[in-house]
Amino acid sequence: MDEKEIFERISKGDEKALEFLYKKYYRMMTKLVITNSGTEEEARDIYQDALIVFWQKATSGNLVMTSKISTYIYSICQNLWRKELDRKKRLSNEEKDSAVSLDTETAERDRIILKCIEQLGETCKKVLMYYYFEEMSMQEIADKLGFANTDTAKTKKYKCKMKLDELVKAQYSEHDFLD
Amino acid sequence: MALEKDFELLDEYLRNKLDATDKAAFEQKLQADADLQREYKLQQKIAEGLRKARTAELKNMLNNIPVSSVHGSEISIGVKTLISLTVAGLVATGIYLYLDKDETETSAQQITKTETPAEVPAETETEPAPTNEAEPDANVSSPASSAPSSTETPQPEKPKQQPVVTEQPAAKESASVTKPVIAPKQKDSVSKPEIHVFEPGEETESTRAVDDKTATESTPKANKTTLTVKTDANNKKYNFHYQFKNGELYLFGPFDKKLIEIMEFFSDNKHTVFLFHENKYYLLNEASEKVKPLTAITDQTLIKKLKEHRSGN
Repeated sequence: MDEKEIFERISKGDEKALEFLYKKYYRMMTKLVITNSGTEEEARDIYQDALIVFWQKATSGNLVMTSKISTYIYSICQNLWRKELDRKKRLSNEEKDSAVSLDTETAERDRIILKCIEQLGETCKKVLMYYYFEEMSMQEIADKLGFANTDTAKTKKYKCKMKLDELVKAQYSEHDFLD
Repeated sequence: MALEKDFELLDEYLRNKLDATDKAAFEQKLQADADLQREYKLQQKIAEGLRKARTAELKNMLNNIPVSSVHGSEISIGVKTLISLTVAGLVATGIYLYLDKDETETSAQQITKTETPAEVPAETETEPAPTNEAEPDANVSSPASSAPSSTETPQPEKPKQQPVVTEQPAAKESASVTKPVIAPKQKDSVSKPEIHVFEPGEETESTRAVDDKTATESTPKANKTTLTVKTDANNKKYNFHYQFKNGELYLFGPFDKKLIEIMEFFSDNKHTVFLFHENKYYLLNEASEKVKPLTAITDQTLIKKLKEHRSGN
């Protein structure tokens, strides 16, 4: 696969191409973190996050490649790792007392939503994720999930979203979170 | 009351797909409609949840892709290794040698040929900060002074050397090959930060480490140093040569196949570098930046001394 093909396939949400890319640059990207005070685990984490940022931008059509893919991902890795080092530094400076008083209510709200997403069927999950994360068009969603046309995709998305909204609202109201 | 049409707009707004005019109009509406505002907040949360869930799914997918361990197969760009030093008080010449013995570091810096070397330079072109040993040159002074003192004090009388290991691309072999060469006698704490290749931010310790290296590179008097070593096995013109250029040592020849070890000797004003490769020693002359052929040392007395340092320290 050459650069152009990889990018085209990734833009269409081809996970195989993502897998290919992941393996291809694994060493190069993780080395960046490992040689800068990071563990291999941190390196992998940063690389994965960077790759997902790239994936999201590519699938949503928000990315015009002006450099090599590796250059682009490398720069994301750099930024992410820099942020992580800053975060660690801040954390060690702040000491435990002032560090992160976790907003439990917010965390609970987030947890409820994730739980509701889990309750959806696989196709529903995919449709909504492709719509909100990959930001695919209805045509792309239809192609990817084998729907007859964009109308089918639209209807499916609408129904799935309604279902998720219902689930979340029911849970929220149970927890008195609906304001 | 929010209308269905509003929800559609809301969806597009959440995905940032509205054009400027529609966006402005929608924001105005949002301001004026409390119900819509509430719904917007909830929908924002749900969209965020879906993104998080998808991210987790993708991460999980990536985690299940088998990849070879970095430590096993990375060679380093520079294969630059730094070692802590011991001074060779016993040596008749009164030279000080420095030796880095952390094997894990060395292997961490190894990269394979399969890594498409051309791509790393490409990165460095566009990104100002990446992988370059040259980068940190600007701030050399402060770190140089701090690091040496720590290593110096414990054993100022022992020699140190700087082994550098390159090896074949084959990742699995690396560990076994590397081990025998670098006897890990030193504490991690001394050498660990020194493997840093580029500087992610001035505030990190790693930065200092980088600076340290470069600093000592240019001032051999310092008690610690590291040379950046690059190997090139495919050069048609030079097949067993070396070159010092911009503070980096280039080795031309089949050095990716066998272990190599760089030994650096420091005396008051002198910095002498030897290469150990396939049971032979080579003197590396830093005097000029020309490419020079590698000629094995034949002087038995010198060989004996070098051998002593390699095995004894």
